[in-house]
Parts: sequence; C-alpha cells; structure tokens
Amino acid sequence: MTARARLTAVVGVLALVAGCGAIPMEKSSTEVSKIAANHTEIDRTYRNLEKARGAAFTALDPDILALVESGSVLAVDGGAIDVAKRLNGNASTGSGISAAQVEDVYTPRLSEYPLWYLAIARDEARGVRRIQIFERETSTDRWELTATPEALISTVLPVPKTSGDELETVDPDDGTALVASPGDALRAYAAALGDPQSPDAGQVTADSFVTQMRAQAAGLAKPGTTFARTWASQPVEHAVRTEDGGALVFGTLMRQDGWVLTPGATVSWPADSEQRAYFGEPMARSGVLRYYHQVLMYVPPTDGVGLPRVLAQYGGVIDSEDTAGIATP
Amino acid sequence: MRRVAGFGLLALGVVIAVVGAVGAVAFGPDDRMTTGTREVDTDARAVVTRPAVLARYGPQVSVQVELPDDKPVFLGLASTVDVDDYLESTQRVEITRYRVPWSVTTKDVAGDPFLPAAPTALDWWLEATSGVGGAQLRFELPDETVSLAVLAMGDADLSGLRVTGAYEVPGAFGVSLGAAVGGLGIALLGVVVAGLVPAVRRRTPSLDAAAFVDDEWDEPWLETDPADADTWDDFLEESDPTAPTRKPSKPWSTKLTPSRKPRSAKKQKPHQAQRVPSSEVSGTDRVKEDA
Repeated sequence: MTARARLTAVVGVLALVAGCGAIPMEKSSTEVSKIAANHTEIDRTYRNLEKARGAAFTALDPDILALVESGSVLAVDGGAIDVAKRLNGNASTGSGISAAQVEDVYTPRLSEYPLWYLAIARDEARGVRRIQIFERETSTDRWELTATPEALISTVLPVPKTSGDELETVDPDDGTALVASPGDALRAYAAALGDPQSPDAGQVTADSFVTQMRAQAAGLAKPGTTFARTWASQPVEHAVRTEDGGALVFGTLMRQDGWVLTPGATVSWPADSEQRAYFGEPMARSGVLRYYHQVLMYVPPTDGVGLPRVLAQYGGVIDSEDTAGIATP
Repeated sequence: MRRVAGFGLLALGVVIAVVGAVGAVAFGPDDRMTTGTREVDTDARAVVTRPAVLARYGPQVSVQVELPDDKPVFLGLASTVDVDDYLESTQRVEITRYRVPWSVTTKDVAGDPFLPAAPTALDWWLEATSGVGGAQLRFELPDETVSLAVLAMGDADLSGLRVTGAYEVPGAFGVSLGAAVGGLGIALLGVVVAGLVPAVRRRTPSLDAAAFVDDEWDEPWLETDPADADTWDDFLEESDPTAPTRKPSKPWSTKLTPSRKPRSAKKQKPHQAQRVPSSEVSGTDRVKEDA
C-alpha cells in the first residue's frame, strides 16, 4: 500500500467514525411496544408483595392485601383471612406467611396495557413452587399479583419459550399447533370436573386435581343434606408458549358448593373448616359456599403426548350465601 | 485511470468538506444543534410527541421548556405505551411530525382538562424532571419507541409554553471542522492526481549524475570545531596551495555540497586529507586543477 493510499484510508475512516457519532441512527423498530417490566420493577414488586402479605396475614387485614393483589388471588386470600377471623377472632394464625425466592422471570413484549409478566418462585418452607402472574392494569396502577397457582417442588414444569429476552405468548382463543385452544381446554376441564360423563371430559386428563375434588365432594355430602357442586371457568387471560410447542394456561375456575338441609337436620363441620366459619356449629340452615381455584394448565402441542392437564392450583373460599332453603322431605 | 481516480478523490473531498463545514456551522463551538426557542400555542395540560418525532436514537438531546407566571411544569420521556395509556383521556396536543430545525405538525386531541394522576408519582418515566416556570431535560435517545411529554402540574395549563430543543454531540464541532479540512485536503490531492495542476517535481540536475559518485564522503571531515567548518572557500583554499591566506569564514557558512562540487573535485582527493594551514597557502580563489 502506498503512502498516498494509506493517507486516503485513514482520512476515510476518520470521516466515517465522525459521521457515526454525529448522525442519529434509525431505530431498530418503530413498533409501539415495550418489555412489560424491568428487573428493578420486578424486584421491587416482589419485595412489596412479601411485605404486604406478611403484614396482612399478621394483622388479618385484607385491605393491606389490596395494595399488592387483585382479582381472584385477592378474593382467595381475603377469604382465607375472613375464615381465620371468623374461627379465631383477630388472633393471627400465621398462615399464608412464608417467604419465597424468585427463580425465574419471563417478560413478554406488549403493545398496550394491561402489562403483565410471569415469575416462578420457590417456597421452600411449604414445599411448593409458585407460578405467578403480576399485572399492571393501567399506567397509573401498581403492579399486582393476579395469579399464583402452586405446584409441588417435585413437579416438572414445561419451560416457557422466549425469543431473545421476550416471553412468547399464546392467544387464548388460538389452538394452532395445540390439541386445543387454551380457552377451550379450560372450559373442557371445568366441564369434566362438574360431570365425569360430560362429552368434554374426554378432552382433558382426569388428573390428581380432578380426583381430589371428586373425593372431597363425596366427603361433603353429609347425611341430612342435599349437596350439589358446580364448576365454571372464567375466560383465559394469560397463556404462554412452552419450548416443546405447547402452552401454559393460567385460568380461574369457579366452584360452588351448596347444601340444602332436610327439616330438623344439622351438620357438624371440622373445627378449622370454612363451613364452620360461615355456617356456624352446628350448621342448621341451607347455604352456599363459593370458591375460586386458579389453575396452571398445560396444553400439549398436536404432536405432543397426552391431553390438557392441570399442573398447579391455588384456591379457596371467597364468600358464602345463606340460601335458607329447606329441602322438601 | 489516474485521471478518473483524481476526479473521484476530488468529488469525495468536496463532499466531505461540505458536510464538515455544514456540521461545524450547525453545531457551533458548543457542540449543540438547536431549534431556537419556539412557542407552542395551547391551553391544554399536555403536549406530547408521537413516536415518529423521536424516530432515531443515539445522540444526546436537550429540551428546555418555559412557562410564564412561574407555573409548575413536568418534563418526561417514557415508552410510548406508557404515555399513550397515561394521557388517553386527557386533552392534549400531539406533535405528530418534526423536521429540523423547527417544522412541526400538531394535532389537538379532546379530553379531560386534567391528568389522571400526578406525573411525579409514576415510576415508568425513563427520564424526568420538573420545575417552576421551566425545566430542562437532557437524555440520550433510546433505541425503542418513546414519547416526550410536557405536562402542566397542579391547576396550571401550558398556555405560553416555549420550547427549546437541541441535539448535543460532544466534539461535533471539532470533528466537523476536521472533516472540512480533511475534505479539502482530499480534494486538493484529487486535483493533483487528476493533473489539473502540475505536481511539484524535482529539478533535473544539469550535470551528469554519475559525476557525483564521490568517495570523499567515505572519509570523515577533519574539522570538528563548528568555528572551523568547511566552506566552499575553504575548499578552494585547500585545493590551491598558492592561494593567498584568507580570513576565516563565518562559522556555519554554506557547506560544500555535492551538487555544487565541480566535476574536477574528484581528482583533488589527496588535498582533502592533507589539509594545509591557511598561513602556508597563497594564491587566488579560483580552482586550480592539478597538472
């Protein structure tokens, strides 16, 4: 290379470098969207959640929970506090207070509110793993916990799929490459819970949650009462893609247990049960208890193995209704 | 080919020089390309940019807003997703297009004459500041869709709003100036290469180059005293034993150089080694050839 060529090259490089620094660059994307939350927000949100839950269950004050939770989680936790207060007065039972360590966080890229992200936390004391959805309804709201189904630590969870740092989501009504759309899978599951003979029952797995709920229902059908249980599902709001092509679906099931007492009949319930908390001891009138069950359902891909099944759940009573009805003898 | 390359260099140099000069003028010695102070005519509570206005990233931007009567004002940069949701129901002016130095297209959007929440209470601002009667925000344009919002706080509105914006590129003036000078240099080089002006050439010696092959340089000069340096006159004196005694020349006068050395000097080698004291020589300044 001649001296002149070298000089030209140096001048060219200098001009290029100067240009790069001075000229604004075109953005890589013009799409209006953002990563739902950054790590600072996530850490702060989790610290606030743990602190508020601890304070709320210590003071048995559901108003504190309302600062960090909403939706069916708040309803379930509020119900637990209500039951505790009915059974034990204002003395704290200490239930619901256990710290957990966040293991993984998955954040989708979203174009509008509500924003949400998925966190997986390990609660060693209770031997469970919480699979949680945090949601921010509007730009002026706080981050709140809206779903927290729990699985045993030994349960193997499918790994959510990410593109770069962004969690891949699934449209709740889109069943492409899945054995069923998330919404349909949850509706079929609720139907199967309500009626084992339902046509939808064959579309989902009769897993341990189904078995447990059926066994429990059999135990609640006390002599002198007519017991009825119904199930329904709420629309699915969050579903994420898994690495095997399937989907993890966050859904809420509504359960209603109703007792109609025959005339003169009474029912005695266990000391720490929600039935005793709401119906008294002994139960001498008809009534209804309503429950929410948040479930984490896995929907396999079309070329996968098995049928949709529930991997985790978190639920509890949310309120009661005194129906005062007396069954005809 | 050489001529084409020359014209190419010339064109490149002119372009770089012009760009550099424009940059130097635009940025100025403070490295800021400013819009000047501009008035935004509105009585809304919010003025916000659409993503197309801040469609690039990289340079540092400085925005200064002023409000009369010491009205409190908030100035913030955030993701467009956040700003859109925050101001969704608020009366506002949207700046939909901007061209330097100051050409904007705006759109009035009807809505509530108040903000849904105090902007200072929100945690999603990427950069934010506030002040009474004015505020200034400096930020680096990020590589994501963002909006800049000017918000009136309290019961105030944004009537009388004045905005000054500036791109800040540290060292831009120096680099631009350097580019202008470098461009001129390249252009000049192009002119020479293209042969538009004769290049500087070495003058052809009038004497036969072979005659300058001289082994006298193989032997060191005897003088080490600067005051006794050899000059042309010294040489002539040394070459001619009959030359008259001369007054010593000034120190560091013109030295003997090969190009000035006569062809016959090669044959005078013995005299250089036998330097005769000036008191013992006589004769004229003329070169005397050996017989």
